[in-house]
Amino acid sequence: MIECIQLTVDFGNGEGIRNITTHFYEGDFTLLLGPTGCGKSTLMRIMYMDILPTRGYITIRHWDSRKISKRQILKLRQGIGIIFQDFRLIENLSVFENVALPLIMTGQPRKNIFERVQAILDEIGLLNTWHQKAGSLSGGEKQRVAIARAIVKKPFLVLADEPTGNLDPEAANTVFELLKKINALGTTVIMATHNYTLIEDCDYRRIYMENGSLVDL
Amino acid sequence: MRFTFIIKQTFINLWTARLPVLIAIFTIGISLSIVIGMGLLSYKAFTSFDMFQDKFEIEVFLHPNLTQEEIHRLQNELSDIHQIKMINFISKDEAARIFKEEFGEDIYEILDENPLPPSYHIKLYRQMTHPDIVDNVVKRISELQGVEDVKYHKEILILMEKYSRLIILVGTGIILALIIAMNVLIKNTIKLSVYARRKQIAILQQLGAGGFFIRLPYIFEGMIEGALGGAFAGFLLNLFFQLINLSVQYIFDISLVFSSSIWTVAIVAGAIIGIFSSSRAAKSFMYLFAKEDY
Repeated sequence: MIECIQLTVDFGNGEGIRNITTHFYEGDFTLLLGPTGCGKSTLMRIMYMDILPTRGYITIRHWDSRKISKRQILKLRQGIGIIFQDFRLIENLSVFENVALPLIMTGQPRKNIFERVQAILDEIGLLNTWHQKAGSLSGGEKQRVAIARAIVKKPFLVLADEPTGNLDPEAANTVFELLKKINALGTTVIMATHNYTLIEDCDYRRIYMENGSLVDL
Repeated sequence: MRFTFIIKQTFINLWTARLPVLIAIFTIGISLSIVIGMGLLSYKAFTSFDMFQDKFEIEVFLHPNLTQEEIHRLQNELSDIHQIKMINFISKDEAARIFKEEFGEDIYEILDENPLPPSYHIKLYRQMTHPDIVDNVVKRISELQGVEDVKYHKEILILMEKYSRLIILVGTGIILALIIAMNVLIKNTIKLSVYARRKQIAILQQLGAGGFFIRLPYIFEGMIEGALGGAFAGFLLNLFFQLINLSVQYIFDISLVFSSSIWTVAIVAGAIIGIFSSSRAAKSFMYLFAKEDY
């Protein structure tokens, strides 16, 4: 479903990724592992076409980085849920508004938005905080809101870039469990992490990166 | 819900940057009141000149002893001058009647005779009322046999021609300069607004929001700033009209009427300038700042 062929991104300062050829399969949970600065985030950014490869190409479902338009990139992103280490919530909006944002911007009816957001917030255990400003939440709560925002639009793919990087072990575990649950419901999840303790007991597919390239272990 | 969200964002933006917004509204108000004031002045100058051109006449006084035949010949000669649109003959008796109408006195009772000469009142085509053309026409008429004197308001014609053009030119210049200034001002407040919300814009872009969805709150913000500036301009113009009326109505029997349509024009003009400036600003700055951050 996601095909990376000789993906190369050159930032001109020695950083970037080089000749990555791999596949990510529908419904899989894939762990992208490697030290900080090895290119995991760059690979993720290519997946939601925030940056386009300098050489090689990536295809995600029917979208091809070689011939994708700006409008198609927006469509692609509407089908992908993205979770960041720094949460990237709009802090002066309420929890409800943050989670509802992907539905609001695609013009969903008010009733659907309320029902869907309520169900998701209930599922992640944050229904009682729906009216609070996102900025007033703890790190763990913020990341759960970010996950809720990522899955509210029922994406076909969830990209989680170091989602537990800023969290204590307990909150990190909660977030990881939530991602597992999302995957169990059929959504493809790709998670970049260097938190090896968190993933030591799971048998998900692992891809290792180092200095911008894939590493065979 | 999308619209509610956009409107809410607009007011959050306005509230967050309330000081620059307030400064922008006041400055737009002052600029717009000058723009509309200059516009009204230019319009007034143009219509006055237009009215003057419409009423402009050359009076051709004839020798008092001309025969009917000579008068008729002279009328034919005048008709041959292509700049002339209309010729109206005023006989001695008619001149006396006009005199009585205008001064309330019968010329025969004052002087026992009628010294008023017969005359032609001549109107030129509107485009032929330039002082140089009128001068040429007058020269030609003066040379005709039987013409004693030719009179017209030469000084007024020259003044009107000179100053109406000047007012229109200066007015247009000032209007353009102030419109550019307002555009820059609104652009700057939107730039501040976009910069303050650059992270939010980047997040929305990452979530797949379209450019229009992101830009719309800023466009509304510019529109509201412009419209409020326009309302303030209307208030200033109203005040100005009242002050002028207070100071001149005891001297001259005139009063300026502040029409409510000036409010409408000011608000609509402000809103249009606001929409135009903010949409351009939001488009150019949102990608610039959002990319800087994430």
